[in-house]
Amino acid sequence: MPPHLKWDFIREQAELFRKKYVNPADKLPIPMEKIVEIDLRLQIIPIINLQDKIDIDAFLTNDLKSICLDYELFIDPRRSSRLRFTLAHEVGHLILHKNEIQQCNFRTPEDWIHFREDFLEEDLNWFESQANEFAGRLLVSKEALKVQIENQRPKIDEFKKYCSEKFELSEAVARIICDKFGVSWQVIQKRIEKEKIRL
Amino acid sequence: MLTFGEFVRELRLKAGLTLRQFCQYTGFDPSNWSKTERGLLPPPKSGTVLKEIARTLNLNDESEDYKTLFDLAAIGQIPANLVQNPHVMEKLPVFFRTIRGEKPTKKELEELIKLLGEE
Repeated sequence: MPPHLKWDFIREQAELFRKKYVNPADKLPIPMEKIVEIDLRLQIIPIINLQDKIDIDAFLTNDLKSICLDYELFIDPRRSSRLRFTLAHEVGHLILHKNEIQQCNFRTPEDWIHFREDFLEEDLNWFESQANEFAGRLLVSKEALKVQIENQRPKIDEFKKYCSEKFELSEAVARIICDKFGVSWQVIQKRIEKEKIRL
Repeated sequence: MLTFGEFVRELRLKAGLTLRQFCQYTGFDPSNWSKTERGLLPPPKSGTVLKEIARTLNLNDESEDYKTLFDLAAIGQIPANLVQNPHVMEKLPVFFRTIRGEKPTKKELEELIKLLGEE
């Protein structure tokens, strides 16, 4: 069973990680491949058809030395935002779930399937959502998000005239600033919601 | 002793190159190159390809790292039963220096000749 970590703790860990590895601290988008390989010395292992075989696009091996990645995800430039989030997500597991992952016995895609089968769906969701929160907070800091939103203020004020729903507005805003962070608009929309930012 | 793949990975990281950047510069497929670094595929045989790797890693052709790169690539082609023999592996640097025209000591040469006779 995964630990039930507090959201504030996860965010704090993401901030500490950014301070340690992102230089300059306000660099956007965050160069996850460089951090993973050069700074953390994790080996990236692209595996052909990983997504088709086990229905996930990446996993951290239990010796904490490698990230196995879907080959197509790795080489497709149109999916660079997804790749960045995926790497940040696996780093989240490394930072938050080191002990749990080391205790598991998986090195291959097949081992990962067995590992997942042993988890209750609810626990697995919790495990993954913690890594997602880490990745979101790492790639999109609250401060940088506020700055980017203010930079787009005239456009946002224009959107307000046409967007009747709160989610319509946050999606429109997310779509115009997501490229700055190198993530999908869905990640930005989620951060706007989680950080309780008023548009 | 490092394998060819481990050695290149060390140099690649020291040069600040990610797997993607290294493969973009050399033209290798990332999945296959990752296998080479992990020893699942043998090192390239072609001298031209090895020179391209050395160039990408900014190795001076007079440097020890340059020579080691070629030596380890050659070791990667040696049959597994010989690689598993610690005596053979111990003498390989002497062997490579000899074929590069760098004169080993008389004692080193005698030991190498003796070992080759045994194999």
